[in-house]
Formats: sequence, C-alpha cells, structure tokens
Amino acid sequence: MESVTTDKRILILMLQYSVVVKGIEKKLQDMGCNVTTVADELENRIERYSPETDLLLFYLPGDLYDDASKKAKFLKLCTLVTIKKKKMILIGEAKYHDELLKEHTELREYAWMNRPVDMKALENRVESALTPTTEAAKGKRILIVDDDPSYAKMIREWIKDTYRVDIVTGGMQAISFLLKVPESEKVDLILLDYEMPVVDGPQVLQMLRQEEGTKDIPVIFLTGIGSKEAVMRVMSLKPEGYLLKSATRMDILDFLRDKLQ
Amino acid sequence: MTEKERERFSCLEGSEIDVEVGLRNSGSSGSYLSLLKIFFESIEENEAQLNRLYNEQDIRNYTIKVHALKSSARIIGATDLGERAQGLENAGKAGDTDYIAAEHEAFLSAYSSMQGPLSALFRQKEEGEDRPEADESLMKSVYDEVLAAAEDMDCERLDSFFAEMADYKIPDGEAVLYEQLKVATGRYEYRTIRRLLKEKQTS
Repeated sequence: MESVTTDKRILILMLQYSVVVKGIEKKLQDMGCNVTTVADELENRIERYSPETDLLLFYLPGDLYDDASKKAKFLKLCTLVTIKKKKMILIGEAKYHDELLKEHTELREYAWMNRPVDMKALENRVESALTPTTEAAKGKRILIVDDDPSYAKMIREWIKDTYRVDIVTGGMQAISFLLKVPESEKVDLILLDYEMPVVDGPQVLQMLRQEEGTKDIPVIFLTGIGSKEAVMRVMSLKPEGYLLKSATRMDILDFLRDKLQ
Repeated sequence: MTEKERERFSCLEGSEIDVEVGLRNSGSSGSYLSLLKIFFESIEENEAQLNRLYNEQDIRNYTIKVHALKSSARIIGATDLGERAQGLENAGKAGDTDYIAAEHEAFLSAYSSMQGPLSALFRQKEEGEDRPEADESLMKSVYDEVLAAAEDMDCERLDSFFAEMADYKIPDGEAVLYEQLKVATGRYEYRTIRRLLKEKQTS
C-alpha cells in the first residue's frame, strides 16, 4: 500500500562506518524508501545525489564534539546540505547535542534524534519529514494555464501533493475561473504557458493586469528554451519570472517554494 | 537507477523512452509512472488530431500541437521524439511544408510505437471482469456531481469521480455520453462537459 514514504529517496551520511546504520537502512527500505548510504567522498556524494533526494539522515559518531577534524567536516557538509535546501535529520549523542547547537545555531534548522536510535521513533520522524511540507504550503493554490492538457496534467501530478492545483486550457477560461474564485480560496500563483493558440501568454497576462480581482496575482511564464528572450521582452508586464518546460520536478518544487514563501 | 526500478520499467527497455532521464526529471518512480500513464493515455487522441490537422493542411494548429507534444515527450525521457517534434515545430513556424510532408509519417510511427511498451506497464480492467453495473440513480448522481464540478472548473473533483467510477460497468445506454464526458475531463474542456450534460437534461 502506498504511503508518504513509498519511493522516497533517502541519503544516509556517516563519517565512519556504523553497523547501526545498516539497521536504519533496512528499516527505511521496509518503509518503501530507496536508500543510499555513503561513508566516503561525502561532499561529492551530496552533490551527486541531492537533486533526487527527498531526505538526508546524518549519523554522527560518538566522539564528534571532541574530534575537531570530524566536527569541522560535519559542519562543512551541513553547509552544503543547506545550500542544496534539503531536509535532514541529525542522529547524534545527547551528551553533545546542547553544546553543539549553542555554538552552531544554524544546525537548529535540522531535526535531531538522540542515539541509540529508537526505530519506531525514527519511523515516525521520517514519515513526518516526508509528509507534504507544511499546512501553509498545502493551503497555497496554483492555477496552471496551458493549452496542452497532457503537459498541464504532468505538472499537476508533480506538485499536487504540496499545493492545491487547478487547470484551465485557455486565457479566457483563466479569467473566468479567477473571477469566480471566492476570496477565501484565492489563487496564490499562476503558471502561464507563454505560447498558446488564439490568446497567447503575454496577452493573457495583460488581461490579468487589467482586472481588479486578478492584477496582483503573481504570474510565472512556462516557456521553452528558445523563448527565454521572448519572455524577457515582456518583463514590463511584471511577471514574477519564468520556468523552463524542461525543468525537473525538484526544480519546479524548489522554485515554487521560493516564490510562495 | 536501482535494481527495483530497473525491474519495474524493464518493459521499456529497447523502446524510445530513456527511463533514466524520465526518472531524473520526475524524482521518483511513483511520480514517473503517473506521468507515463498520462502520456500513454493521450497517444491515440493526439495521433488522431495530428493526422487530421496534417490532412487538412492546418499547419498553424499542427505546429501548436507538435510544440505541446515536444515538452511532454522530453519530460518522460522520449528525447528522440522530442527532437523530432522540435524539427516539425521549426518547420511549421518557417512554413516549410516539404519538411513536414517528409517527416510526418515517420514521426507518427515513432510516437505510436510507444503504445506497445507502455501498455505493458498499465493493466487495464478487461470488459467482462466482475464489475457491478452502475444503476440509474448512481448515474444521475454522477452526472449531477460532474456538472457541478465542471461549473466550478474543478479538475481535481472531476478526476476523482472518474477514478471512482472505474470500479463500475457503465450501462450500455450511457456508454457514449460517459466516454464523451471522460474525454472532455481529460482535456479540461469544462464548457463541453456542461453542454453535454445540459443537452442530456433537456432530452
């Protein structure tokens, strides 16, 4: 049966080999996750795997706090994970937890679990981390305006676990839809296909900017790589930016998270 | 690709679809599978549309259609098909009807060839399997709810109704209308749905 953890990709980091991590790996696999465990070339592995990773677990050695080189390496890797904007659970000793977080407040961004690991607690923590972000994000509503139902459906498939998503296939339909939406359920962002028949993207944007009820809704153009320059020409209409139609699921989710924060 | 993924998508080996690319774009095999289903379910209709537009020499709309297909193809890893679509799109924009004439059949053949491998991924409920037939009151409820959802342009509700109704056999007398509503839902043609159901109400 599908759950929030099914097919999710987990990257486990270790600074030194640990047999307990093997148990954690098995537990996560039983939960339906795809698990990769790495103990060397950690920077390269984070670079390589992070685009498709949903969650990182960093299993910290008992002597982390007392070993300056391990601590430095750990902090450097955390900085890299932050840059990649990935969720991470740190698993370490309670004895150095408080001091570590006091000295390095940036680590508060991550969830913490004490060793020895309670597998049931780990299961709950991982499920929680993989559940569609926050209530606030789930409450955001996105309208996709694209004349190609298949492409629109694909994008919706990618983002519907995180946002409420509606689809219309033309500009006039978009205006009609937006004017009917009650204020309490307003659309927070519009993904607008640049090239559409009859009424194209820029024309739709112009119409949106002329209506009181729609003029302030952020609009992102969906465009092919050959049309980037064309998009720049209509920046005077103040779209919030553009997304290439070749963008991956992670690209799109990261982009939307930034725009809707 | 993990061993599990390799096994899951083994039926696509040797096809026009590069599973590694598709998985990378979607981020997970579950998500990728959903996209492949969307792509698969649109092949027949898109093929028919492209043939019609080509035969009518409606190059403007033919170009728009191949442009749209290009993006979907690339997302699922059908890179070669995406490139062919790009070529046809460029030709359409340049008015190069000779290129389109030379490439149209080969393009459709490559597109159509994906149906075989993809159909192996998706098990369809066969006619004659043990599904209860939807009775008159259920069909009426469905039509009322579909009309309301179409008036709200609520694609999520519409999708969920048809997903639920997949467990039922549609009565013969309703099959044509039901299929029309399902096709219109897949295309987000809310106006068509409303028209079909209002015609039914007045008939």
